[in-house]
This record gives sequence, C-alpha cells and structure tokens, in this order.
Amino acid sequence: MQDTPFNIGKQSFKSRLIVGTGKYKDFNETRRAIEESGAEIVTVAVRRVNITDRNKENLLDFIDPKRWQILPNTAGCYTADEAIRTCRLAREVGVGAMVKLEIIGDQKTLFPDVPATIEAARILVKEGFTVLPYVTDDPVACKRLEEIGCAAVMPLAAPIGSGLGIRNPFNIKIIIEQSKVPVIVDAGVGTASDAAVAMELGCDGVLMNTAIAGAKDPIAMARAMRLGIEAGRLAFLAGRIERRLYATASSPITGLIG
Amino acid sequence: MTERSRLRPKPLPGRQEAAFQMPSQNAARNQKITIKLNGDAYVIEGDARLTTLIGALKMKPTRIAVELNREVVPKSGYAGITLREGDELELINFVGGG
Repeated sequence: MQDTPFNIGKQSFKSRLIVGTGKYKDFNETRRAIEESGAEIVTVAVRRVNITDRNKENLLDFIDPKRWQILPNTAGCYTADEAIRTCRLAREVGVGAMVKLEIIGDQKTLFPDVPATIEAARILVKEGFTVLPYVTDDPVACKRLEEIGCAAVMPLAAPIGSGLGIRNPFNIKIIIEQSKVPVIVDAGVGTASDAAVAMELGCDGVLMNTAIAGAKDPIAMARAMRLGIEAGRLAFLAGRIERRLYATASSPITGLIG
Repeated sequence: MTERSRLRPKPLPGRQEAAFQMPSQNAARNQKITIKLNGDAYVIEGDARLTTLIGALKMKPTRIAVELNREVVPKSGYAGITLREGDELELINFVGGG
C-alpha cells in the first residue's frame, strides 16, 4: 500500500518515527538505536559546552547532520525568552532552522506552559524557524499554534518519560481531524503498542526518547518501535473494521455437516 | 555603529571604556583579561581572539554556537572578535536529549 510522504515544513520524510538522543549509555548506543529505529529526524538538547573536559566527544560526531535532520529542543526552558534564546543559538550551530519548542510549566508533571509556548512560537515563526511545539493534548491550544504558523503540532500522549501511552485518544482524534499541519504525538509512549495506537488514530508521526533509551535492550526496542509505527500506520491506511458488541461469524453458516 | 560595538554591553558607570583600536601583536600577548565563560570566570592571557579561544578549547566551529553579551554571533563573525575584560561569552553545543 502506497503511503503519502511525511512532510514537515518544506521537508519530506519517509519514517514517521522521531527519536531523542537522551539517556543512552554512550554515543555508540545512541547511534545504534537510531539506526535501528529507522528515524530520519533526531532530537537533541542545547547545552553549554563542557569547558573542563576538552576531549569530550561531541554528539554530532556520532549523529551525522548530513544524514539525519537534527531537531534541537528547548527542554529545560521555563519562559518564552529562554526558549527563544535557545532556538537562536541552536540555529547558529548550522543544522537548519527546525526546532522542537518545549516550554515547561510545571516541574513535577513537565506539562507545557501553553501561553508561553504560543508567545514564543509566534516570534520564532516570524524569525523563520520551522517550529514544532510540544503541547498539551488540547485541541484549542493546537489550533492556535497552527494558526500562528507552526509547521506541526506535537500533543503529548502522557507526561514526559511516564510510559503511560495515549491517555486521551479522543482528544488526539479531535486534534487530528481539525489539523491541517502534521500531528505528532510527543512524549508518554511506553512500548510499541502505544506507538501503534497513535498511528492507528491517524497521527502523522510519533516522537519518543525514554521508551527506547530506557528499555532493557534499547536497540531491540528501537526496532520494535519502528515496526509498531509501521504497523499502526498501515492499519490506519487499511481502515479497521467497526467495533461491534456481538459476534459475527467468520466462517460460513451454511453447508454445515449433519 | 559597527558590528563589533553592537555586541558590547553598555559601559558600567565608572568603567573606563578602552579606546577602540586594534591592539598590536605585542600588546595582545601581554594582556590578561577575565571574561565570564559559560557562567564562570575565565582568564585569558595574551591572545584574546575568539578563534584562538575556540581552538584552545579544542572545539570545532561546526559543532558549536556562540553568544557574546547576549547576542548570537554568526560563524562568519568569529574571526573579527577579540574578547575584552568583562565580556560574557556562552559557548553551546548539542547533547543527548528528547
């Protein structure tokens, strides 16, 4: 079955899985997991260079920006100003202008500060960034972000790193139905079936980090996630049967023996 | 206003702004300045050019981004910058994250 390309801004991708690079044992494991996931977009965090350890390896020496689309995030930012500053710096590294806008509103739940996210997104869009905002699974918030020019909306499935899977599939469904930009479920996925559920709902993609990096075998889980995304997407395109309360026989009811 | 002076903070009251001129090589070698590098005091002795600092820290310009006194410095601007006393410099790179 032929799938449509996964377009974000002016770019086109085949893989609908976006993966993070945090929490791995080392950069080698990071790279192997990313290879196995088949992801073409890879998120990274923006941090101060380690001045004291000058021989420290650099993530980009393992994740070649020519091969993967690097998606810097604003993780750790609590205000629009901090996030904007982070994005401007990230763009200057020279791997493009696509950013994952993430402004945290609460330390315990890591739920996003939606007003601050909208404020920052407006400015970043004006400055030419391709803005992918992490947002609550709130259809109105997603609508606003789309209206101001975000290239996608990224509602959470559940709190970051929680592994709870999609907590509100009905909201996600509404967001998918109303959106003209890609809908990418970001955060909260725990295992391959969660990723498949997101894709079966009609999401354009899924972004995850902990579910892979935190698994006992991250490389195997990366593959499981790739297959989960593919299976869910294919099931969505194939069109599932209606849910019924009672049975409908699969075998003919005529021609029975006796 | 030149690109370089735009990146300067406003001089603090009582702070003498040095005359804006290119220091000679000898003067540059004898200089000792303290800047704030990634939030901490950092002493540079002698050559205070940004490109020299980046080299001394064994950083590849293609892996980092630079902010001087709260303004992003494009890569094309690195070569024209000589750091001065009190400058606030941020050097960032990408690390693992989700």
